[in-house]
Amino acid sequence: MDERAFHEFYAATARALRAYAAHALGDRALADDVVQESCLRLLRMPNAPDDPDELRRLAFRIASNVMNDEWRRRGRLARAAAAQAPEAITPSPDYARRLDMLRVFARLEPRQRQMMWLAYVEGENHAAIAATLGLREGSVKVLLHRARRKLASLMK
Amino acid sequence: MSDFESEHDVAEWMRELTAIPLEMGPLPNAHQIWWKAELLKRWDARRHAVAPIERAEPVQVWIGLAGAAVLLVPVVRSLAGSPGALVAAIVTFVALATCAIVATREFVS
Repeated sequence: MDERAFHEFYAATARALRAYAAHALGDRALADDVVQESCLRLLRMPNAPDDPDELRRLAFRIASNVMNDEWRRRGRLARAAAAQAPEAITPSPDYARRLDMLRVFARLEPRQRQMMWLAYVEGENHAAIAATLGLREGSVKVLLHRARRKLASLMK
Repeated sequence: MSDFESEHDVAEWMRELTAIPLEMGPLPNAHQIWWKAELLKRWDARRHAVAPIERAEPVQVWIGLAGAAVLLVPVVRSLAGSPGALVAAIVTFVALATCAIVATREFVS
């Protein structure tokens, strides 16, 4: 990938990648690190695809791996603490409701947050989610159903 | 917030979630990322190029030591009548062997 192609890719993908990382990690500061590390890993790949869609999927796959590495590094305790931390959001009339939504989402398991984001924000199908998160396609269907059920139960 | 009645509700809830503006600073600088990646790629290429040399370095040291051991045999024979010189030759060899071990550890680490 040349510099111009990277800048185009970055302009089209970086914001979405950071939002994914920020919501999945529950940590905005780390989200920037995830974006940077994912791009560095992508640029260092010898055979990165030329197709923009494939490249975007690859970036999300790398970001998911970077986040998994981070969770492994931090351990369970820190992960639980991070998941409870509310996000700073801009003031608005429905501030409390928005904060609730973020808190509810943060209470999902890290993998469930990744899965929900990929499915409903990125609009990925089960096969693509499985490839991104290193799971079997059949497992994604089950795990996604559980994530939805948990989200529903958290909202009660 | 209401419970999810359907897949559509989940999608709608997620859409609302993504619409929440988080207070985040500017994105990491793309130019800096590009140049950092270029530097890392050069670093990777350099490491890749010197890897065979680095792998061979301990081998070189141990070949040198084996040569010294081979040469030590005739030296020991010729110095059999001179205990002082013999001890000096053995001490030198032990020192060489120690250096070889230390050097190998350095290479491995």
